[in-house]
Amino acid sequence: MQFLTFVNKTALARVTATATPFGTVVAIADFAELEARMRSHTESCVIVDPALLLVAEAEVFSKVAAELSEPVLAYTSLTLGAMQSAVVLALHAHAQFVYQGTSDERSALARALLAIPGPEFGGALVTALSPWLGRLAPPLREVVIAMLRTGSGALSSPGLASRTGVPRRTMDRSVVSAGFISTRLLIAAAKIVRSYRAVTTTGTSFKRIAAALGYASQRTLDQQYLDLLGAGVVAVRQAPIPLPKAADILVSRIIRSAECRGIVDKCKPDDSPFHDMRKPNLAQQVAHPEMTGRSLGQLAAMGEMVP
Amino acid sequence: MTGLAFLKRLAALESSDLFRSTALGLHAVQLYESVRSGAFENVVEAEPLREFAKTLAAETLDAHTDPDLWESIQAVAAVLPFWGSRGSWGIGREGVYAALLQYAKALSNGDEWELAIEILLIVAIDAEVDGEDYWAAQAHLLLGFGYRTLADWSSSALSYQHAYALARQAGAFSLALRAHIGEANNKVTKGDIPGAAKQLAATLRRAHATCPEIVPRVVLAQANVANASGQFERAIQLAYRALTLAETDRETQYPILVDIAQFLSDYGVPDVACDALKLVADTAPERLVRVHALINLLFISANQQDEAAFELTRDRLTNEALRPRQQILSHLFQAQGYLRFGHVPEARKAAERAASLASHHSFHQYSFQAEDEIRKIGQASDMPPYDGRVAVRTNTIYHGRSMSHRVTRIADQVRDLIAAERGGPHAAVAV
Repeated sequence: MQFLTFVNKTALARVTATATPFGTVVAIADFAELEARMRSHTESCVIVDPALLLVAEAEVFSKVAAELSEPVLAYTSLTLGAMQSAVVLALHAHAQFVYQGTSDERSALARALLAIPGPEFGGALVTALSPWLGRLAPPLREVVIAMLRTGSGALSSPGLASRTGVPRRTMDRSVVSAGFISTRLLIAAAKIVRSYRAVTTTGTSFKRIAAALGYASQRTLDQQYLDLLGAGVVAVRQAPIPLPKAADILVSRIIRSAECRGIVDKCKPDDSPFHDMRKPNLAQQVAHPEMTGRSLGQLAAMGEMVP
Repeated sequence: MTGLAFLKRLAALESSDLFRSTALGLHAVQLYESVRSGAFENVVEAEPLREFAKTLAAETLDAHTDPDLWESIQAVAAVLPFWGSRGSWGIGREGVYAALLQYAKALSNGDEWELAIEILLIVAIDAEVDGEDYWAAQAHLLLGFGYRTLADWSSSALSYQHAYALARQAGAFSLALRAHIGEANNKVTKGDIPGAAKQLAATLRRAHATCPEIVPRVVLAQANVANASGQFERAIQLAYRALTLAETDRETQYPILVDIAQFLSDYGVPDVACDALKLVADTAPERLVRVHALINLLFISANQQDEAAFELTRDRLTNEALRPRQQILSHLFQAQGYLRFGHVPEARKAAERAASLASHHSFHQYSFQAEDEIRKIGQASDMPPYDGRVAVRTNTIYHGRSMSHRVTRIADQVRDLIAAERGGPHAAVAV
């Protein structure tokens, strides 16, 4: 992968030191060159310090990045100007953020570089999930879409609830009533999106990928792949699943089967490159506390009855 | 009450520059409290915050204010207006936590540990409540270090444990492993060398498998354990290994080089140590690391018969804006040097200054060392002069130790590295 890097000199040294194992770093001198390079290169990731962009430039940049579906890593310093542009990038370019000047800066940068999602997978999954995402309340929908597109953000239900600004149980019920099996599986799908590029296009050890993405162990990562894509990480590395197909399989595993019959039919084992593809364990799902919650409408009605 | 440590510090401050930066820091913390409790939620209300950030950004830096401290206060002011930015993935909130941690780090670098701990506690508690485990873990990690510096071992151990748990939850394995390094350092400080060595060996195995960027840090911690247990050769070997592991990361290489110099000096090879320290003092990008190297250089030249190098290093240090701990060490080593070279009045003056500063900043260990130095100076001035110079009894760095083959090889490799660096683009700046 090529990292188009538009940052200051000190940050460039850090990026070069950190990104070398993952790809080639190309230093960019100004915004015009960045725009031209983005348009002429495919399979690249853009690392940019929002402090070097005016708000208008950040808007143009976001438009180009969205148009080309290029992953963006905002390696941001903490100034008024930087934050103004950073908000634009967060809103429109779906950038991942690493903050300069913190004590864990280099590791955070390494983790972010390793977990940059492939440009198409997140988009394909959002498209495939659009009927169900459309049923989520707007703030929750926005956060979930950004999580699936960039693969960054919350790694747990409490974290996701915190970002959406609603209580966790309310969020869980909202997600279930929109047709998803559970918030836990939704987050697991985002983690798959985040790790898929590292698993399929790099030789990085699975242990390292598991640690960078917050899995408890390599075995958990493998199990998650088996549960959600129907094949373990080794099999996926040997024979990557085409992205639209992978997105469909993921949808079939995180949406209640009654809701996505068409997609489940498309992902029958005969049609899949993997014969050991298993359906999620239904007994476990029913027993999951998130599944026992009432829908939002029912909850509101019951709340009104309380004196 | 939030800000209590700030108010206490303000009441005790004499310098107007420090008063100004501390007061601005307190102002930023108070604004953070307001923002967090729901003030300035919409754009119109947030305008005074933006004005404050603009005013602060436009203000010029005082000559005596630490640039890192100033930049971090500006950063807090700059990100506060974005706390409630809607639909932007909470980057405003993350930015505020990052800026507050940056401010706490700058305060701790300036030895303002009580203020730093107040800020860190705010971030640790608030971020955990917000479900931002990553930021809470970072705050706990720094708290662990801070409490250790203040000799509060139990709080330090608790903070490291908390940092580990939160970092695991947040998927930040690097932070979790760093918490383990911190725990091992605590063990070294308390004399549990085998416990520290065991913990670091386990941490190294996990770092190799999961976070290669942490490996040099773990190996360097192992070198410190070896040095603390008197295994100087092993310490040098491990530190050199850390240096080679960090070959693509020049910023990390400089502090490692300072540690290698310390180990070589402890082993009895001060000439190579001096060369390494001179290189760091000339070329390291971080001022803190450069000054650290200069202070170590002052110690070596003061305890080695090299008056010219001593004077040169002392003069270079007088041009630097030193932090309290650095000032104390500088005066302490000057006292040792002046005494060795027979300048008793200057030695007494420097030692008394070190004692006064150590007492003022509550660095009790340095107070004892300075008092000990004053006692030695008193003894030396009571003795009859010999050969025109004052008789001196001080520790001398051992020269000419017969080095093992491995250490000779490493010393040669460090010399080669220094020669290569001197031939590079930084070579123009020489001592």
